[in-house]
Amino acid sequence: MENHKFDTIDLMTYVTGGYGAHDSEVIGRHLATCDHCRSIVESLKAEQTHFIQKFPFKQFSFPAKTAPVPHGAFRFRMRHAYSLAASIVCILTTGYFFLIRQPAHYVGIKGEEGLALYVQNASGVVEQRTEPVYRCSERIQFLYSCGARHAFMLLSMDTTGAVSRYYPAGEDSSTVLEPGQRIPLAHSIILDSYTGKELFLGIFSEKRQCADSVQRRIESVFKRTNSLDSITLPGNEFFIVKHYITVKKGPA
Amino acid sequence: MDAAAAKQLYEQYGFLIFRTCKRLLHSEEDAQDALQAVFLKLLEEYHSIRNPQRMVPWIFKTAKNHCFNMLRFNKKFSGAPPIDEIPGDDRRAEAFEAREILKIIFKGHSKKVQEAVYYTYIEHFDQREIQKITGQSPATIRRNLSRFKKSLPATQQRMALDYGKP
Repeated sequence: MENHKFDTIDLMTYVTGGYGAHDSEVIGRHLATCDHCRSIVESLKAEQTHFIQKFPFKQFSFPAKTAPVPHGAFRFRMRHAYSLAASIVCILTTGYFFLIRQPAHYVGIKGEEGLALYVQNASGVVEQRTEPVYRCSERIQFLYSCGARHAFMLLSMDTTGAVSRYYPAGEDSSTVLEPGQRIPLAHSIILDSYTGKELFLGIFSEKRQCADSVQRRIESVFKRTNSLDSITLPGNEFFIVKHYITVKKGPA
Repeated sequence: MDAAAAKQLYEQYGFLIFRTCKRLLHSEEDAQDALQAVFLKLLEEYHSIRNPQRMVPWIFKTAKNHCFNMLRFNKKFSGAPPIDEIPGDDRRAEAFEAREILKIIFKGHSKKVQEAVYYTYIEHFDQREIQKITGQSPATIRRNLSRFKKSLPATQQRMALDYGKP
């Protein structure tokens, strides 16, 4: 590394206008004498210009500026009426569930199977395999069946005990599935470079469950037993569909 | 913050966010998504970053963390579209491969080691620059890099096993 007075971070700050007048002047004087730093600054400026041309600001949509809150007396608006109506509905619904409805004792999954697994192989053919052997980078797709509205989670666990969560993606509690037969889940899954046995768990439940809590329970079961075959969830509020697959590398 | 000020910030800093994200995600589409997320974070936290000279290190750190999170949570691209709708996409596959290699390289290392490796070998910063961004002292950076180098034979072996690449 040559002995330069300013490093790349300094020059980036200079290009983005992060320095005050005095510091900018000092760097400007240095640039007049240093070819190396000048070339970095020029390439950064060119990159900045190219970026602005390629991805102009208008591509982004920001929420419209909200109107200022009016001062003065309270005015009853339609939105207040809607809020009031929504609150009443919420209170009545909560009351119904707490006072009238009996707790569920089992999960009624109606249908021939809870979760079917399809795969798109390297040549693009979609098939359902009799042997559960799949290849890295193949794309798999689950189709669910259930007779009533159910909360659902899809997890996978490999032989090291590492759990991946696909549904709910980025949410805290399980996804709600509408009733139906053989409905594809919203996303497919591309198998990564992991090779070996892998367990996909479709977890149906009547009520929405905290995803992290369910994941921790499954991990603790694995820690105790150290086997994919014995993964289960205690209690009767879950209905679990398991798919054991073996992932191999290379083309089929 | 009004749209004009946001536009000015975007034109000042957008390219830095984008280049950082693209280097890690290897996909222009995903880098654009990441750019939007990081830029919104920048707008939210702009007033808390009082010193404008800290903006560039903040951008590097935030964009890197965001992309690492994307790599971690999209382990198998669970957000990939359903099979019936689109056929395979070669560019997507290349990005997938590059990300997989990054994940294998960084697997099992602490955040500090990952930062030292990322800024040294991907962003090509020197130790003084890394110190500005991460706050790690040069001695710590050297120690973290040496830990990473010690783990390289095992990583190479893992890549050869998992991916058929030395």
